[in-house]
Order: sequence, then C-alpha cells, then structure tokens
Amino acid sequence: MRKTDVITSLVLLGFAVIVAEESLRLPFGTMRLPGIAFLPFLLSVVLAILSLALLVQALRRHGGSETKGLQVGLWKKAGLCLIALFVFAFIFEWLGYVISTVLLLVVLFRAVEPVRWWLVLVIAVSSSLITYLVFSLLGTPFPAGLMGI
Amino acid sequence: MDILGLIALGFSVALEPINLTFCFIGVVLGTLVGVLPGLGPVAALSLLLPLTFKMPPVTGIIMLAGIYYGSMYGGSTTSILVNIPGESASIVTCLDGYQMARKGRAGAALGISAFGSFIAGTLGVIGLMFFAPVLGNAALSFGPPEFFALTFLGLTLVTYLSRGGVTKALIMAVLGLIAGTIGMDPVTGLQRFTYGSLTLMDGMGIVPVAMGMFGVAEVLHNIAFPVSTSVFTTKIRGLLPNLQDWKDSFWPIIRGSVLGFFVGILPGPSSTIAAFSSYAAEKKISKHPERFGTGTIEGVAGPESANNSATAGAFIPLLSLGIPANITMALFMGALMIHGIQPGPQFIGKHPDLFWGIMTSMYIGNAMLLGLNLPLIGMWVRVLKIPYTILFPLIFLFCVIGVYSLNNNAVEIFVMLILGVLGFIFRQAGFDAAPFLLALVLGPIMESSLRQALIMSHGNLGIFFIRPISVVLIGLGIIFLITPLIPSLKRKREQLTVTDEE
Repeated sequence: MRKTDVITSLVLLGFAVIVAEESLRLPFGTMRLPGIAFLPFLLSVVLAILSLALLVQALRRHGGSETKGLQVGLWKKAGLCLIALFVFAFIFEWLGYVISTVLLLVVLFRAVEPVRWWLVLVIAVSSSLITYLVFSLLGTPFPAGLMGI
Repeated sequence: MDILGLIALGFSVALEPINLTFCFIGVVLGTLVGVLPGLGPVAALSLLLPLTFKMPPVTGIIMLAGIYYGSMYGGSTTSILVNIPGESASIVTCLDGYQMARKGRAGAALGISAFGSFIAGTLGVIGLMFFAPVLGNAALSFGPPEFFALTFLGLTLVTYLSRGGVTKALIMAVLGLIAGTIGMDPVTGLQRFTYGSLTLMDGMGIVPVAMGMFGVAEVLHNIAFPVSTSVFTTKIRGLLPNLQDWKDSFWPIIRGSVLGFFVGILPGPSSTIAAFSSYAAEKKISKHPERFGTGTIEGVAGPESANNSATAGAFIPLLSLGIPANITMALFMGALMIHGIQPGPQFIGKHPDLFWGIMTSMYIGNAMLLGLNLPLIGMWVRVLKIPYTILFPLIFLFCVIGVYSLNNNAVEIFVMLILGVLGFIFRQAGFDAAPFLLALVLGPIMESSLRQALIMSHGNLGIFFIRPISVVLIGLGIIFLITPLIPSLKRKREQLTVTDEE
C-alpha cells in the first residue's frame, strides 16, 4: 500500500491546488458575509493538509514488509465492460433504447465469460423488452431512436 | 390528534390497496437484490429508486422502505446459506448462522432471523413513533449553529467508524464536501464549478453518485476479483425454530432490539455497529460463551434483531431533523426531495399522513417479510445459484436505465460511470466510499447553516461555542476527530471497525 498511498496523496494534493485556484476566481466574501468561494477554498486547504498527512504516514512506514501493492485483478475484463457502458451512454439516445440495450447486454455477457449465444440472445432481448415495457408503464419514456423502436 | 388517532391515520394510509401492493413489491424486490452477492441495501435502494419516481410520494417512500428492510433480510439469508454477507450489517450473522447451516439447522437460523427481525422491527417502529415527534419538537428551536454542529458531528462519526485509516476517511469526507459545492449556490444564485454544464447546475445528484460508487464500482470489483461461492445445498427443512430455540432467543431478541434502536439514532453505519455490539453483549452475558461461533442460535437472534431495529432508529434523525445518519438514510433523503418533500423539524407536522403512513407500513412490511420469506427461501437459494456472469450485465443495465430515468438525461449516465471508475480506484487504494456519499448530502446543509450562522453572529465563530447544544455536539465531534490519534484508543476504534467486507 505504501507506493499507492504516496501516489494517491500526490494526486490529491494536486487536486487540492486546482480546487483552491478555481475557487479563488469566485467571490470570496468576508467572515461577516461569506461568499461562495469561502467553503471550497477552506476545504481545499483541509484537503491539502490531509494529503500531506497521508504522504508523511506513507513515507514513515518502512517498505520492508511491503507485499501488497495496488491490486488490479482482471482489470482488462472490467475495462472492457466500462468501455461498453461508455459507448452505450454516447449512442443510446441516437440508436434507440431497445437496439442499444440488446447490444450492450450481448457485449457484457460475452465480455467476461463466453456465455452460450442462444442464452445471451434470449436474456438480452427479453430483459430489454421487459424493462422497456415496465418503465413505459411507470411513465418514463425511453428514446425510440432512429429505427423507431 | 392523539397518538392513537395518528396511528389509525397511518394505518388508513398504509392499508390503501395501492400502498399495500407497492409495499409488497418493494419487500420482494428488496429481498431479491439483498440476496444477490455484493449488493447491499445501498445498492438495492439506488437501483430500485427510479421505479418510484412517478408514484405518489407516500406510495414511493413506502415502497422504498420495503426495499430497504427487504434487502437487509436478503443479506441475512446469504450470510446463513453461503457465508457471504450481502452487506456489512450481516457479517456477524455469518459467524453462527453459517455454522448452524453446516450443522443442518439452516432452517432454524433463517426462521429465527425472520422472527427476530419482525419483533425488532415492530419494537423499533413503536420507538420511532414516540421519539421522532419529541425530537422534532425539540428541533424546532434549532438554529443554524445547531444544524451546523449536527452535520459536523455526523461527518466526524462516519469517518471515525469507516474502514481504512482515519486520514483516508477524512479525505473522502472532504472530497464529498467539495463535490457538494458543485452547482448553483442556494443563497446567492451564483454558479460554482459547473463549467457551463446544465446537468451540474443542479449539483451532483445523490442517485448517480450512489449508483456509481456502490453499484457500478461494486460490480467492477466483482468482475476484477471473482469469488467462487458454493451454495449450501443440503435440503432446508424445519424453518420454524423449536421451543428450545425460542427460549434461547427470546431475551437476545429483546435486548438486541432495544440496543439496536438506540444505536440506530446515532449517526454512522448504525445497523452494522448495532449487530456487532449485540453479538458482543450476548457473548458476554451468556453462560456458555464458548459456544459462540460454533452455531449457537443466540448469536443469530441478537444481531439480526439489532440491525433491524437500528433501521427504525436511523429514521429518527432523518425525519425529525432532516439530517441523514448514514448513507442509506441519505438515499432516503434524496428520494424524499425528489418527491418534493423536505425532511426536517416541520416534516411530521406538515405531512402527518406521510409520516404515520410510512411508520405503519414498515410494520406491515415486516409482517409481509415474515410471511413471505419463510416459504420463499427455496426461491432465494435458486437466485443465489445464478452465475455472476449472467447477473452482472443485468445489474449494469439497471444502473444505466435507472440513472437515465431520473431526468431523461444521458449526461447523468456519464456522471455515474465516472464515479463508478473513481469508486473502484479509491477502493483499491484503501478508501471507503461511505464518507464521500454522506458528505455530499450533508455538505449543502452544512454550508448554508455555517454561512447563516456567521451572518447571525457578524462573522464571529464564537457563536458555535456559546450555544449549549451546538457546543456539546461540536465538542463530541472534535473528540471523535482526536481520539484516533491516541494509540491506546486507536486500538479500540479498530475493534469497532471490523466491518471490512473483503
């Protein structure tokens, strides 16, 4: 965890500087009448102090017993799913609910383990249609998209 | 109106067919999500919240309450049968519940946890009926300094009790507060950190954030670190606890209920603490403490009751003060506000039908859980056997369409996904997401009360230290901030936070 903590604390420190810098562009106000920059600026200072504290804690720990770094596991599979979700978010208003959710589900089912195709298609199509119907009944229309379904 | 009249009003609301129906649906869906691996009450609430948007407020909140305690119950089921707690509050249930299952007594364990939850839920609701209005009346005299002090205490307690180091928990809380400042400032109408985005003008929504950090991040984690589960496959018979079981469990249930209720009122992950402290208490009181951990029924009955009545207790600060005590309550607050209701000191007086309707429906919902879960356990076992590769795409689908259906705004899907990624990374780096989410909700309350207090006092911070209630609350908060720095107390804290889910 030591190396991870050093990196995260530096990233957070950088973030604190950005927040401080951005909030100082806003009206700061006075103690009597605090403006909108008051709290964000205060928080950025606290965040900077806390990240420094984390950094010091990490550096003071001796690296000898260091075994566990940042675990990423099967990050490729997780990443693939994420890409599919982001692509979905971009296209689904244009492509329409039913088509895009079926596509999303097919990709997700096959991304982690090769689930049998017939099962993939059955579940993908049926859950897409069922959720479409349920949410239509509940009064949330989904975008029909270019094919009109 | 006297209290009986109000309770009658409550039942008349809760027993309306539409409310009964949705209470039932909520309980079933909640249990279903609670049974799913890795998804606890927070995920259940945020996943199913969108279903309630278009309902009348009372019906929507009744359904959500059903989802909540349903998911708690679902969590216990998985603890007993597969030794995997659906949520941190049922970690303790694993200790003796799973051992009971291995001894062939899964039925009695499931049965006693259902009955215990029912009894505790009932006692909790009764307690809530009496305490919430009292606290609500007291809170009418609260001014901005008191509200600031309350939110301050709430945040420090959550960081004190969250897993990982205190520094990391505080960092998450501060990040949550920063995220809470995004959007239009309610006092001046000026915009902060929105960078021209219309979606961000309303601030970071609690639903996309909760779904991202507790739904998407959780599923990503499960994909990256698959766990193999083996469902306990022996036949479950004899769901009803026998007479000896009842004798052994009666007092643990009562003690657990009372303890849980009062722990529940405190800010923090109360149901988890309630369960742990009930287990510890029962072990201490017991004549044969050595039997704990080998499948003794008291070890299931006490904690299961405690975590249920803690739920009822946790509603008190939310409904009477407008301050959520933990992240599930924060989600409830978000839901109330989506329905245009502001919880707070005036809530009970302004919406008696809503308050008493929800209270009595919780009672009815608990009865439904009891009636439903004993016969349905077979079905939950089958749900447990669905492979994760089939489940997770559907969970993702629900996250995506749920968030979209909030405002028909695709940008919120991005907000959720980005927070999901951040939540995943933070988790790998040892940060707990709970303080972030709570801070996000408490932040705006905290800021406006701080600014109002400073205006009141003409910029003098002393105002927080001359008013008796605020000085006590802030003092307590400071104690919680400082104690982790003292080594001997640090160890005590670590014992309390054994809520590590991995």
